[in-house]
Amino acid sequence: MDLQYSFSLAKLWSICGAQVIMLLSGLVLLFVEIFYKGKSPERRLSTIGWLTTIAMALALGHVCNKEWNLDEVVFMGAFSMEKFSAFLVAVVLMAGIMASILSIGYLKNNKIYRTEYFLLLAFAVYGTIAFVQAVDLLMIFITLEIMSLGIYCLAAFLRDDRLSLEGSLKYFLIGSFGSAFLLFGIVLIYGFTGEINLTKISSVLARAPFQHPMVLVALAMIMVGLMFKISMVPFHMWAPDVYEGSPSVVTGFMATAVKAAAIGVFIKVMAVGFGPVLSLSGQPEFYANALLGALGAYWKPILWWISLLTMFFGNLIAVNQRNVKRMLAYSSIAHAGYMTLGILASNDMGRMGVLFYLFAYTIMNIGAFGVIYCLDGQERHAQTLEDYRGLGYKYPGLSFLISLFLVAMAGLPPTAGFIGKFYVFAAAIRSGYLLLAALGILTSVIGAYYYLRVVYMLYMKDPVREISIPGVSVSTAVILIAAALAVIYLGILPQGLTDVADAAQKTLSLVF
Amino acid sequence: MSGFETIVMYLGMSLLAILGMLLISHLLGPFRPKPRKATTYECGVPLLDPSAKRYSVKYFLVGVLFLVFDLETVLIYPIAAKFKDLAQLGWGGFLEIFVFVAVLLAGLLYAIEKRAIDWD
Repeated sequence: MDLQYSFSLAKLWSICGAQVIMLLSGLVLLFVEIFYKGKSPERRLSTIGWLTTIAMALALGHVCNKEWNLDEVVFMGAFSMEKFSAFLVAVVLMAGIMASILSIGYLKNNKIYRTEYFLLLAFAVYGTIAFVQAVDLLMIFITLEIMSLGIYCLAAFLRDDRLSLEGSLKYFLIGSFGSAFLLFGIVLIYGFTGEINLTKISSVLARAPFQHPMVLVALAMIMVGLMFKISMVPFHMWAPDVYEGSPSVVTGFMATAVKAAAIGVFIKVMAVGFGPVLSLSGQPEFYANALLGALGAYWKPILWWISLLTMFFGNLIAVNQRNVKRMLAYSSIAHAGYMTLGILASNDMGRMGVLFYLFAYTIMNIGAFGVIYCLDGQERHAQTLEDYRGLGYKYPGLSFLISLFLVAMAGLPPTAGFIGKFYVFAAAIRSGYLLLAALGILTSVIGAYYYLRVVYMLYMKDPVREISIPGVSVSTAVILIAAALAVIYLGILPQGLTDVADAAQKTLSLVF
Repeated sequence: MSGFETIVMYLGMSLLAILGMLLISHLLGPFRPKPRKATTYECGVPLLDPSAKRYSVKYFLVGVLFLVFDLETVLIYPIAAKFKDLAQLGWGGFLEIFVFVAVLLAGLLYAIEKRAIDWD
């Protein structure tokens, strides 16, 4: 064991506090789940759901309650908590809170009273937080698996439903395939450098010839492993089936939290682990230098094509979808493409744009899936475009909310989606990716077509069949309305969040 | 490729050892095949049978629970090997192992309470 990292409980609490809270409350919930009988299944479900929510809220409080500019941000070479991680942890916890509150209503609608759901969600959130905070490749792999295992089970939670089981199995098989790539990359980089800590890897790479084929293969493998989770285009095949099959709220969670975490780790690995020249020159250079590292020449052209393919493929195939969940699955692939643009730009504005985009995307996507579950009533009861015809007059509130979220995803002002896209594209243009940005804007015009088609169906078509939905619970309504207000607020006054995101991306160098 | 010669040698040696063992057992061992002996696994589920059939979920539950303890052993072994270094951490090292075992214990209690190892 390496003794240069001293262990102290205080440090564990200050750096990994959110994880500790989630893990402990997950363990407590295990026993609550066993011993708490409750008056009725509904009461039991909502009690455990709210307990999970409170645990996540406590963790979020721990993250937000502190100014993360300590000198020591790394815990035992395994976890770090600088502002960058704190931002992503906050996004993940926000997604978790929204998902767990929406889940209570969702499970009641579907008459599923198995409360293991919330345990799985709590542990999945724990894994996701740890994944974001990890600065050690082995820890990245382990936490990725914790996160994924929770999500695999959640995806199969409608266990009498064929599509849900099919999606979960596909996710499991392809997810394991992706993890194998990541692990093989880690093995190669460990074989070459003898280190698994990101900062140590970069300092070894700075001394050694980093153009060595083994390093490049390892870089490619690690990138591929993470791209499976982000669902970038050659590695996206699982996404539509999984997103369509899973319970709507779980889809919302995995389209946002998992994606946010994977993109955060992607940036972290690229900027910290494979930025060898930067680590030699030290921190000030890091701020000034626009490039993520000398290896950029190798991964940037690849990412250029992947970004282009992701944007085109996601948007073009979404046009042809009749199922709204499946359409949103393809749209989430397209959004991954826009975010890749920000990573590719790799300047301050690009990274800030990606963080902003992740925040906005989390709110609007979970909001959209929340409305989808409300309109659905029971899962797969009404989720095709035909079912949405004419709902705008029968359910004006829900229709307005989903229209707002979809308009935000299409990137129209004055919504948060527009600001996010603006920053990402502006950063790409500033870094000289003019053609890619132009093509990206073109694809987002294609995107507007299928987003607005849903709005068109809602308000301008006559219904073909009667859709009746059970009442929307107060907590769900509050979450959806809060999300809608946030989308509009961030679209009009983005300054607060951009400042936070900018401060967050600047602290990436503190991991050194 | 510094340091990788050893790995290549190791892989080569293990390949040779496997082939050697197969060869020796082929030469020396008696050959009396029975249908049951010819299957891939001596225990566990049959390898080839119709996919839509009833099977015992208990078998897989026990398998998963066994895996947990198997991994626990594997992960605690290195601590024994590095105990002297770990002892310098004081209570920290103890706490690490304790947390690990406590999490597993909570899982086990959960499994027992959920009647995962009751047979009917």
